[in-house]
Amino acid sequence: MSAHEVGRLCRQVLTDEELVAALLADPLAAMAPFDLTDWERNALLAGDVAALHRHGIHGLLLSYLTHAPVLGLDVATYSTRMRGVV
Amino acid sequence: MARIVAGLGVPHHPENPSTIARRDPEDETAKLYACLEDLLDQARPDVLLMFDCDHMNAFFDTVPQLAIGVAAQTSGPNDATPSVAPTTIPVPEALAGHVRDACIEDGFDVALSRCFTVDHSILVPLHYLRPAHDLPVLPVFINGLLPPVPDAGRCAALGHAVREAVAAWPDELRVAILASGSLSLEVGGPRVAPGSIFGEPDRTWAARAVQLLAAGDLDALTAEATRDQMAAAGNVGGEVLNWIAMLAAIGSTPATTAQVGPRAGDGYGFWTVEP
Repeated sequence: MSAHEVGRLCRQVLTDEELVAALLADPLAAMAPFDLTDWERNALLAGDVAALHRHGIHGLLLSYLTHAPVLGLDVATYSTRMRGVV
Repeated sequence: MARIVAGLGVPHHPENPSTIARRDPEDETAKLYACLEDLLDQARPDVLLMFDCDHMNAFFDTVPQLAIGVAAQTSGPNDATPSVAPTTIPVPEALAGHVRDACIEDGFDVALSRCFTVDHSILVPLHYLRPAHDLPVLPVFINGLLPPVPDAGRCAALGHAVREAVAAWPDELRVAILASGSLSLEVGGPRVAPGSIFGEPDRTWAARAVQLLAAGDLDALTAEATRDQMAAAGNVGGEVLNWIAMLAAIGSTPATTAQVGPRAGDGYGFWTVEP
């Protein structure tokens, strides 16, 4: 279940500072160990949290991407993009 | 025999320990926690049974609807909760096994977790209510986050089963029952507030739930906490199931004190069962 793998990446961002550093330095390379589809990888690179939420990833997990923040997802950006779903 | 002496319920926002000092007399949230900390001390519990929703930390690849942690100890936080140091918490292993066995005999398929860690939903309440971590904690996990969550009536029945299980424990033991969680909260989903990763989509429901909890009206709370209502309350709205289980476990008595918190989706309450 690839959506689950996106969730795994999000969850790991919360506790894995090496992953955070890798996402900040080279996000595409940082995602390589995760079994993601091309669509998922592109959505993450674009920081398209609304689309990822529609894809089935729990908001709690997606919110972990604001940690650091990674993928350009500071809280304000995250909130604006996620609220756009409604 | 073991006796349930108190019930209580609090939220567990992970950012609280880093932003709200314990017992800060100038902060309303700190004062609410401090009041409940004092009431818990006065209840002189020997064990704290916590109804809790794991946040996909202890349970991620496999998520049980119900689980009980049966181990000598646990530790956390497993989710890097800010300002909460790595902590080891004793677990009353024999009592936990007894409670699980009794619930299974009562018709509940409760998963067994022999090796688990805990997240902010356990550690933030303890940070404010029992910072010495000297009280054994018996975690009863309810899936309140991943739909379909258990039915409210089922969780009330679970609370009753836990009540009977405690009463059947032969040793003298004072047990307090804690419900961890919010009553209306959206985390990271579409209903977050502008500029935030949090939101309170149904403050009216949160106030209603606190009203019913305060009155000890388990029947009304169970009837009104439908899956649709819990979903409307936010993507962690299922945390109300912990409160329902707690209220059932303590015997549905009116609260000693219960109120909505400074964050409108939160409740803070204490139920004195035995002096």
